[in-house]
Amino acid sequence: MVNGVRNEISAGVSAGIPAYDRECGQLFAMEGLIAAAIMITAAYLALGTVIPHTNADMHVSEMQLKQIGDDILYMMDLPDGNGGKGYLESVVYNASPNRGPVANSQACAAFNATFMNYLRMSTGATINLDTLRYSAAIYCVDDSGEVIRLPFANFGDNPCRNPSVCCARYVAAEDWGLIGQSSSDTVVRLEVMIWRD
Amino acid sequence: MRSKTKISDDNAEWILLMGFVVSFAIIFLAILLNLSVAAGQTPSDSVTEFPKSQIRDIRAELTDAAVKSESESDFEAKLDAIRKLALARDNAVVEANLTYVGYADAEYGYAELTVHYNNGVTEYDGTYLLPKKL
Repeated sequence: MVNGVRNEISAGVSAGIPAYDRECGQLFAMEGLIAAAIMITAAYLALGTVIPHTNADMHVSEMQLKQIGDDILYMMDLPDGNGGKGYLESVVYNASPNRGPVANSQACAAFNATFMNYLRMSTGATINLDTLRYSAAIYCVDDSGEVIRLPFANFGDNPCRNPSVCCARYVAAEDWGLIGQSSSDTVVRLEVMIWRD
Repeated sequence: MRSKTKISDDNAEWILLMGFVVSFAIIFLAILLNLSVAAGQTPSDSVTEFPKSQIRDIRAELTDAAVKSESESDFEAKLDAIRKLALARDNAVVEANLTYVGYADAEYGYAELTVHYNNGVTEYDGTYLLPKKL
């Protein structure tokens, strides 16, 4: 529209003056320069505002991982029948250090099988690329009241390379005790760190 | 002379006007983009921060301990472990109180359990009546 108006006027006035038309070209050059500057500014602003968007996406996937992990631990801790004991309680019972290394490794294998089964659960309609890894640890209180960490089952290593989330659940532990210390009915905390490889 | 300079001035004003319009449009779009980023970040971030599963977990575990414990010292031992673990691993203060002698009717006696959770940002308090057949 700008160009249309300008052409009409200049065509009417500059009928016999060729010098005027040449001068008018400078305005077009100015307009082109300003338009270029505006477009570059727009591109700069748009690219600048897109950068934090990746952060938001990261939070979404972390939220999904955390939800999956918490739900799996909740499912495993839930009793199958009324008044019974959850599967996680029997696993933690066998994972007590005073139960001996054989029972401990069996508990690790049992936890690993169930946890990985739930973690890989899908419809089966398509083949999923399995990239989920986890590392579990049990935290308990010793005789002197200190919180100590016992490494438990894991699948995959190098959790520092990718963003990971931590899911935890308190599990009732019957007759739980460390080697050389007294055992009692207590509560331990099972923590699972989940990440995508 | 002729009105040559006047016509040139008119053209410049059109360019200026269009420049302003385009600039304001770009600023408006940039503000919208900024808002959409904030909208994407806030809900997923706050869902991750909010200790939903921790509170449910502690509530379930303490209720379970209160129902299954044979005596008050049994319950205290489990509560003490949860208290220490929550403070060390979750940076949260957990407190609970179990009163056995409370309310009763013809068939059931009720123990009253209060649960308190505070991780500095989110605070939770709950009271539960746990029935036991007399």
